[in-house]
Amino acid sequence: MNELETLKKELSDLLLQDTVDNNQVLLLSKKIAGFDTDTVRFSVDAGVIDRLGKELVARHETAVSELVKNSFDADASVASLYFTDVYDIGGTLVIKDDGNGMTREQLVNGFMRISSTEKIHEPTSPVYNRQRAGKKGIGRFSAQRLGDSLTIITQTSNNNFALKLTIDWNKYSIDEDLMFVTNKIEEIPKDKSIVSGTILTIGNLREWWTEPMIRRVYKYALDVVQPFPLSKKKMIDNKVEDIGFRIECFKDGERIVDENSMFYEHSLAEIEAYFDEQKNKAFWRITKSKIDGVPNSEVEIFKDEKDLNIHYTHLKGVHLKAYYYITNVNLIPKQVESYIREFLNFQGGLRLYRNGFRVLPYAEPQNDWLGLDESVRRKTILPVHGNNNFFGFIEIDGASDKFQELSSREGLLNNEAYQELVDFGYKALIAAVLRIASARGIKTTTNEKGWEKKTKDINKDFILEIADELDNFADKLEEEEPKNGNSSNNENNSSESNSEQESETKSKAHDYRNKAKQLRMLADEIDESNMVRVLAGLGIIMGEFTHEIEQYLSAFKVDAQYLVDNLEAGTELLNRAESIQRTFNSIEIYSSYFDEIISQNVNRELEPIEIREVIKPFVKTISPDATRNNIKISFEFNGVDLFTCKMHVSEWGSILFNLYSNAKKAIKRAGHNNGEILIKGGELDGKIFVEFYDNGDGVPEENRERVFDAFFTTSTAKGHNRTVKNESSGTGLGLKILRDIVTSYSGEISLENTIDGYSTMFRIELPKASQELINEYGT
Amino acid sequence: MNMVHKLVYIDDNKANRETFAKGLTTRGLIEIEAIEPDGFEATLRYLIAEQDKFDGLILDLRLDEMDEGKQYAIYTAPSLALAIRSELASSNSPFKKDFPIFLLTSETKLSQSYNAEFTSYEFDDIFFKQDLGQYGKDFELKISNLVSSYQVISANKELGKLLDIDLEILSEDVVPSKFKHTEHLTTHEVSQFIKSQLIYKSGVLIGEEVLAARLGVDIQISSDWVKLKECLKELQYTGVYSEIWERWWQFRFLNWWRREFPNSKPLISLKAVERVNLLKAKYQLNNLEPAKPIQYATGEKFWTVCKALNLPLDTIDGFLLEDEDSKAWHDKQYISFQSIYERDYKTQNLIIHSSEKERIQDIKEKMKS
Repeated sequence: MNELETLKKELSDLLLQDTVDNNQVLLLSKKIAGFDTDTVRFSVDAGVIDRLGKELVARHETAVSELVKNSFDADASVASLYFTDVYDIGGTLVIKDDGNGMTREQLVNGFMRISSTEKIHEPTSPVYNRQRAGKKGIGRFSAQRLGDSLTIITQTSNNNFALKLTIDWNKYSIDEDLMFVTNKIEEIPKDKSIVSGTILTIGNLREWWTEPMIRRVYKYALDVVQPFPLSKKKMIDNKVEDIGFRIECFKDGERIVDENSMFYEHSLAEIEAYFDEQKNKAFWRITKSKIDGVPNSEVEIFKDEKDLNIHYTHLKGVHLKAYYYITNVNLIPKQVESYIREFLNFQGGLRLYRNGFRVLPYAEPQNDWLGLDESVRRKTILPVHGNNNFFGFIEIDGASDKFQELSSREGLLNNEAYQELVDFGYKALIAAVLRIASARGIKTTTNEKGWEKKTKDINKDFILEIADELDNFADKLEEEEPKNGNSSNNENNSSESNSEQESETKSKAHDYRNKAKQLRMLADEIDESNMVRVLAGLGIIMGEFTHEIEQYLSAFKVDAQYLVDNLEAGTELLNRAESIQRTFNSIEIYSSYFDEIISQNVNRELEPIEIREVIKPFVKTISPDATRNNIKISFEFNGVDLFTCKMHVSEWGSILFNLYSNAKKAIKRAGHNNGEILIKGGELDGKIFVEFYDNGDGVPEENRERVFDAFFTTSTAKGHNRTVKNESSGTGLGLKILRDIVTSYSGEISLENTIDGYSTMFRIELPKASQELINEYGT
Repeated sequence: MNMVHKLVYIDDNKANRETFAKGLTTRGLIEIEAIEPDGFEATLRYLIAEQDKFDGLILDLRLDEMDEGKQYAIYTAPSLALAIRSELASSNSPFKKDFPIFLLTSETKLSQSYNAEFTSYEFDDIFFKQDLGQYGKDFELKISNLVSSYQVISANKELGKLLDIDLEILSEDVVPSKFKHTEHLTTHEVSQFIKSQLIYKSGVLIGEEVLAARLGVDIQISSDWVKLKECLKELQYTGVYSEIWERWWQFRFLNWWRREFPNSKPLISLKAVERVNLLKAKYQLNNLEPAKPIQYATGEKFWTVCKALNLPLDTIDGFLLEDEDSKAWHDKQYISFQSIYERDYKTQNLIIHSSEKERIQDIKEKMKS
């Protein structure tokens, strides 16, 4: 019997057995097919999964945001992300949504089939007709990219069980045939508390995660997020109206990122307006504001300012809430401004909810139902108040029957009630906007510069003194408490009012302590702004100094060379002369680098920067210094025309030099003799990035989120009792200044997971120059 | 000429002047008298009065800076040099002989703006104070050579003699009629013509890198390159400045090839490998390696070098550089796409010819997609 016959027999024997080993069937079939002399087939190595994962999903944040978009595509209303134990690699990420879930068929032929065509065939989601946001087929690779294992638990509304699929990505190693790698799938009881949904558990994460990284996940998924998705489902024209989508992120159980921390907290002011049924009047007030001196008193809204006796008659149960933003004037932190602005542009405006249902088309793109944009065009009211300055909503209580909803997406009937509603909304917002503007006007400048000037003159010690006094005051309040308690026990009068008083005292003490804390932070910021001023002055002196010293260094080198040339070989004198020469060469490298940086400051014009043009000369200049410190520097660039937005060349001098000296210190601390620095540059998703790696002692996990803080240095502990000596040993402003530079161009600098062979990686991301700019400056 | 040349060095920095002078005189080829600047006219008068005692002048760039609370001069080196040059060019010059003027400065940025060594009108060469410690001896040799060459030129300005060639052999337009009769020209003008038009720019004369590119040889890894150069001795330029700058006559080079390899195709239509194989066989030199194209380039019929990377380049892969002073007998200057992609040309202040922009744009677009 030849081999083929043997195989055929083996296979037929196998198929006759009671329990068939499917892998063995596949293996035998494959071998039999291998004898086919006329046709051949492609086969796929299991290693392809790992390769595709790495190639298709460049960054771990993108990987998670792709999974979030999958939840959106599955008609979920919320995706909850739970990061656990992620301070180091090996943590866990759970992504939970209330979407449609997957049937076995969808799981097997969709998720488990590489290059499946579902998203091509069905560009919109089944229930809400959402435009699918996830990239085709990226989900599984994202999961693979993120961690060693993946468990999917999914349930649909139709099935009375849930499915659990477990994948161990380690099994997909090179030289295995993809076909033979099996994954366990089982039916498990349904979670009765939800109708449908999917839970992804990604285990043994390959990266550690910081809060800024988690915020980035949110940002990358921004195009599927909607503000105030608090409405209930309802049918319009036999279709279910989309209820919106939100994302919330938890780290070790603590809620850290959601729409509140991403958007609402950064608003300039929060405005509320309502109809008071007892007084039968409408009011507005500013409940929170970042501008000092904005009163939060209640103000009446008059239907007719000329005749104060005319009242609104249809506004019963109406409530308005709005978050107000002014972009581009330093009123929003730079780090968050660019995405907030973008988001305002396509999601801004005041939505309308009735009985918890969203009423369309209000606050849809181009819908200007309160007439805000039109009012901006009229230019009679100057402070900005367009739809893209607000996130907000107006709620109508179900009790009011004055509002009549039309069919389809036509909104409310344009009756007297509706007109009152529009009038009320517009007037409330405008009045609040004017109040904020006047508060800003009184201060003439609210931008940071003016603020700095003000704080600079305040004595830091004075502030700290007040803070201490506040603390003392709080202590005293708390001390007095038990006394009160005792006397009330004796007299036995209303203990209720006493405990009320007690809690009030407590909250007051707490309040004072908080204020003291804020004052101390303010004192730190005074330190910071003073230090920045000192450093700026130093910079000017350094410019003079380096220019002057060039002359002396050159003369010194001539003499040193003479000694080296003329001293007798083998003598200690020659050794010393050579040592002097070496030491001086190090000084010269620094001085010529600074000389160059300073001479660049003559040019004040900003221009797009091709990162190669700043990094290559930097590496060239600094290489002798690196060599002397046993550090190897290399760089690699990828992509053509790596131009950042317009910047100043010398800013790159600061960036690179700071990162280099940090790396040098870290390598020195690590105490090894083969330091390595790698600088990578390239383009990703329309951004230019530079990654700076070193193999120093690394940043301990507890410091990862603090390294960019002012006065944070690795050598000295930051604390209340730090001494003058500590502060002068290193300014601790290096990375802080870098962050200021980078964020002022709407870029980002962060500490990231590194690659093999390195222990620290700083990543800078900056907007890429427009094509027009590149054409202008490119050649 | 073994005589010691004497130079006057003017610098307002009292503390370091002597040290810099010492740094330039360790080999004993030149002697330097270091002095502080006086007023503009006074300095000029001094130089005229003392002209028999020096053969060249070295100037610090910023003569007008404060030194130890004293400002000696209110002019800078270029204006003084220019004044001397125009005196020398006038028919009744107070100077009896022409002499070279050198600039010694710590402003390294100057090197970025222009190639002073060849193209500056005021100065014959420029040296940086920062390099004095390391290269002082080389500078000394160069200064000495330049001074000697000035003396050779002023002794007999006939161009054929200076270039050590029969001018009739050169094509008409290489030597403008102005330079056919050079008696009335200053030594400086003749010197500048030879340096900037013949030595600096590849064309009539070629440098080592271009020579190697045309022979298809990778000089980085060919240990027999020195031996091959020996075989080409008869092609070498032997005229004035040949001690400082090594050059070869292009027309002799082509004649040599035709003579030595009469059966081969024209040199320009051979690939580097073919050229090197012929050379290896003919001269029994085994350690010659053919040059390879720069990344993104494909042509192997090298004829020039990438100006930014100094590596052999086939002109079909080249991108033309802007060169306003280019004459008909100069080779066109090119850079490789690699140097554009990696931005090396930019850090060397090279300017791409405007006609190439579209082509570059197209290639970049293709790379992106």
